Amino acid sequence: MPRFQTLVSYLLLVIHTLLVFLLIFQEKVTIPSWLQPLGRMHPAILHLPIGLLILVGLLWVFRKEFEGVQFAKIFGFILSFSAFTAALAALMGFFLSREEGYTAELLNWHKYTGIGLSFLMYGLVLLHQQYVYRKVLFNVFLGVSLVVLMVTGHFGASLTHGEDYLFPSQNQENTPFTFDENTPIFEAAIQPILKAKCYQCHNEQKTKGDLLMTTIAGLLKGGKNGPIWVANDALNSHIIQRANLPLDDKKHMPPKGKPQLTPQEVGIITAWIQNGADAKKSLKALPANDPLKSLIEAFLKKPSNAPSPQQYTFDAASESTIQKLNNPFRVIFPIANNSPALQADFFVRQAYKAEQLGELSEIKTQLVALNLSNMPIKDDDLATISKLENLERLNLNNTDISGATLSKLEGLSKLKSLSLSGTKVSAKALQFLSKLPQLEEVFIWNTQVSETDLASLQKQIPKLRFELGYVPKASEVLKLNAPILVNENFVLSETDLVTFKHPLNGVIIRYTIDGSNPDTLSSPIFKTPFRLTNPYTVVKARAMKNNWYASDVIEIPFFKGTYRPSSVELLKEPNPTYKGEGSHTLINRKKGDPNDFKNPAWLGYRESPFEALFTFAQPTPIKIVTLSLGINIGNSIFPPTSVEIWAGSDKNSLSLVQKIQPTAPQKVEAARIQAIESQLKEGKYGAIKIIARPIGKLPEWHSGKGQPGWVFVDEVFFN
Amino acid sequence: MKEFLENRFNITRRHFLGKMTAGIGSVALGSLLVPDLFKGNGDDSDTLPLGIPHFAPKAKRVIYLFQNGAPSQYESFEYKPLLNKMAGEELPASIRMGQRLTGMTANQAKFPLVGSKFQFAQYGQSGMWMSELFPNIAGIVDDICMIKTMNTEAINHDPALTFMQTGAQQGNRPSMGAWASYGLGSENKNLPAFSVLLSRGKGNGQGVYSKLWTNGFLDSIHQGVVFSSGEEPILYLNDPAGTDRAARRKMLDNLSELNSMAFDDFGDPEINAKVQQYEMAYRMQTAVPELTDFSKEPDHIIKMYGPECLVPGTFAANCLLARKLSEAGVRFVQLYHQGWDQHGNMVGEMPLQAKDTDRASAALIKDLKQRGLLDETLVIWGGEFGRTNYSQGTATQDNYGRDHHPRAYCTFMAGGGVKPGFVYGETDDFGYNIVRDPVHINDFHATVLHLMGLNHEKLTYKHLGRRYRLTDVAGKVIPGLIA
Repeated sequence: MPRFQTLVSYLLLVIHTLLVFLLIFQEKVTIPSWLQPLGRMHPAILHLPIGLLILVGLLWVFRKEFEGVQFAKIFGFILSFSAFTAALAALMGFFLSREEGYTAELLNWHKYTGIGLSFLMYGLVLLHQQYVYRKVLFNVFLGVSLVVLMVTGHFGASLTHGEDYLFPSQNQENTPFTFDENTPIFEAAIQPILKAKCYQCHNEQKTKGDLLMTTIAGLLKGGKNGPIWVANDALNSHIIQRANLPLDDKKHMPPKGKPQLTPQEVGIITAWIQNGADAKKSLKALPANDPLKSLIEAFLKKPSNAPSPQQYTFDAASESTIQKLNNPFRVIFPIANNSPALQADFFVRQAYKAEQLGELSEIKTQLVALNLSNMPIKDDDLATISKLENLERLNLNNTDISGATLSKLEGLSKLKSLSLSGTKVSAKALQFLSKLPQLEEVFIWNTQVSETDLASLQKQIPKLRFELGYVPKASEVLKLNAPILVNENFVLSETDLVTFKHPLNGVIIRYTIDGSNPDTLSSPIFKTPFRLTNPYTVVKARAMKNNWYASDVIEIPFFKGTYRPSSVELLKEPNPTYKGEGSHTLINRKKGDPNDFKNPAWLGYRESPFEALFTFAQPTPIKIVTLSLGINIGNSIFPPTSVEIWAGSDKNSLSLVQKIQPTAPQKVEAARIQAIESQLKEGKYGAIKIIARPIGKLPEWHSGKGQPGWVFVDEVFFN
Repeated sequence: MKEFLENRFNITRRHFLGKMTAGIGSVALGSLLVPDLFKGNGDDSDTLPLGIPHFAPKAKRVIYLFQNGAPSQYESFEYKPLLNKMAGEELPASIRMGQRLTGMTANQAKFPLVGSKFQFAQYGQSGMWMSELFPNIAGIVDDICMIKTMNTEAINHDPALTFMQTGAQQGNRPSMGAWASYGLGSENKNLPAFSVLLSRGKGNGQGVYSKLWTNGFLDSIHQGVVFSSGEEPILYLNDPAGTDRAARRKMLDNLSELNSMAFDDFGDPEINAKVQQYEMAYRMQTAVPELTDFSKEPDHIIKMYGPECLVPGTFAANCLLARKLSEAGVRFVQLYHQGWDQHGNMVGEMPLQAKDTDRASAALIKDLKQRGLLDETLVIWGGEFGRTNYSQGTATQDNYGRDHHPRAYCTFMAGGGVKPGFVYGETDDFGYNIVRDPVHINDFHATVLHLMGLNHEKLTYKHLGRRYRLTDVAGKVIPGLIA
């Protein structure tokens, strides 16, 4: 006999002797804890004998297909190995069976069939060694072994997966549990929780800790640590204590890794025990303000997170009908994937045609939502709409209906939501709404319905939610926004006019051109565009309207330039970052924005003063020179410390006409345009030079104190 | 010539091979197995149809009031009196837990805590805390669902904005609105399904870039259309002087005839797309003036949004326009309001920013409500991250600033199936870390798509060999936010 088989046959003898011994003294045997892991490996090992024994059977049946002496050797080898694994699985299974929670009948069946199988296979090994003499017996043993294998396997699977795993009992699954006020709380809430979270280990088959939770009797009896609850004393009840232990605690229930009780479920069980743990008490028996009642109600009403769309029983409209009715201005689509219900939206008032509404009769069964807002729907059209029998949402906002025929909608028995905002309907027209059985909400903002109307309407039809929306209070006065200047260019030609506008209807705009702030009474009202005569004018304007506060004052500096020099020469170069479009910048009539000093309309100077020479093709009768500066204190753009105007007949005969020292700012002010004007003596000039010196050191109060400031110039005008 | 042939098939090589394997698989297995078992390697669009919600949506449309630059939660919705009590004290290291800082405060020696200069009070039946800077939003707290525990990984504006809008910190993924347009299509065929409106406040601002409303790898039809902030929100919409509608129609008809001849010759599907776009532009010529004409809005609507709403390009005007666009079926209206980056001068700038947005935001929600549209329109208000509970630079008696903080910030939603008058999540007393119910940006996206009737795991697009989602490989719907 080969060495392997010899070894196996000794091992088989040992294991089976041990098994017989253990079976006889099983009541007295305690398994040492170091053997427990061996027991728990039973599920890992047990599939080996199953597969191998089937292989043995197959090899045996088809043995004719193998030739030569090697077959008997291989077959013997496989057979002994499979018998060995069967014995091992049986032994491990025995150890495992000694653990808690498997006291039931099913386990006994599995145990004895399993051990029986092991013996049968040991017998097979022995018979095979003397096969020549015991041919028939071997065949019988093999057949019986295969049958016992199936039986044992089935018992084992039933133990781990539950008895109704293979053939779920139909009646249990298909009739959902229904309950009402009279159902005992225990059945409605407690039992379902236990079923979901506890039954897995505390059932008739697997009764861990000797605790059976599937029956009331079992629960009352408790486990090996005694009863699991103390009525009226939840905090001393084992079940609550265990549930509240930290998850890593060995005594925490349900054990780590199993589905845990939610805080809500613990709360319900706690409250129920506190209430007396009465298995018969129903929801009805609880006083209205009992905390248990609200807990249970919240639990039973648990919303399912999966969206549960309303089920529609009517047939879907045909694809071609929907296709035919769809156009860019009337869009019809199913409310969701695979839903027969349709929604129709109308868009673009101008494109609306009266017959388009009637055409919807083809889908009158399927249409559940209709949006006609802003369409020219007339009173007569409501009769057409009333034929859409399954309509649930109807939007008639800002349509032309008067409400006179609104009661035609009476037949829309499924209607839930009706929007009438922005129409002329009155409270009287809404009285019939009480006849719509499903109606929940009505939107009546911006209609004839007043707050007092609504109060009485609400009294008549209390079940409806009316939405009156925003009703402005007389006490709420807001400030108007400032007028808008239509002109885009602040440099006016001789023919240019100044124009204002305001987007709100009924606003008046008052303005001044003398630098004063426009007041609400005497300043001129802007009616028609006006002309300015001065070379530099600051126009101030503000908007006013009844029940509104007057707007802020806007201030716009306008410039005019009668004469244009033939050339400009920058005698000092501007800072390279702000060199605009070169010397031409000063006479291109492009005004800069003092908030946007990076714009090429500006020339910026810091290191050197601004110094520019303007020459005219012929002597020109200039009276006023206007230098336009940008001021942006926050960004260190200050008025110059001094401005010098030099004038003469040509550039070689210039003389200083005026030296101006603009007032220095004392604090951070808003960015603005500042103009410096210089009056020239009467005469004709061919050349003018302007020098403007930036501030050398910014004042103490400025964030950039001590550093040099900037001068920004965008235009120079000659009038 | 090869290109033309491929166009004839309108199919790519990969697509073709994918379809072929599916065909062989089906033939081989025939009716023995589920026929779809071996399908699906080829094309995702087979799994769920596009242009229709996967299930019945709660929100048909979204208006996202994006507060660009990250408004401070401590001066708006997050009431943390401990910060006032501990003002000037150092942020405990046990709270900061090694949080990565921006280059602006990383070298700061101290992190002095600073509390809100502005008063807080509770409002409405829900008793939600609100700063005095937002009196109008305080008036509608019972309609809004406040998330206190938004969180992100990004700590600088560009990646954070990009993450918030596209679900990834790097650019070139489709924006939320593009995904919505891709998944649900356009409700109103006369307007772009995804519209973008820009405005700018007086506070320290951060840029907005077109990558925030990009279609990414999706078809270009899903790209956000930016409305001009000038007097005419859509440029070049008017016919040139001297052209009447009939002439325009005739011109388009002739053009489309020429185009269909070109299509017959070349078979390029882009030609058909072009024809459709001309037609849409023609319809927009009638659809848009109705929308952009505010003169028919009643006086008290103007009062509700504030008179600023008549000045084109302001946040208030954009809110009013957003309401009109949404009412007209635009799927996703995205607003950006710049100026919320208060690293310094919190006390000076925050009230101005709040004033710009408070009244119009509240008005938009009220306006939708009174028209019966709030149930089906989801309004979202929030920025790209939060701000620190300590001062950037020294906090003086009168002023302070706050740096970027990714671990927790506030965003609120209203309508569209979210719980009204409800606060979700909680941060610690320092407002620094989340103690309960975090909402990561991916979760937020998953929830918004869910509200729109889209399963974020099934809304995919195959690109460069793998399927992409707005939530990429993360995100779960937060049921606690859904009514």
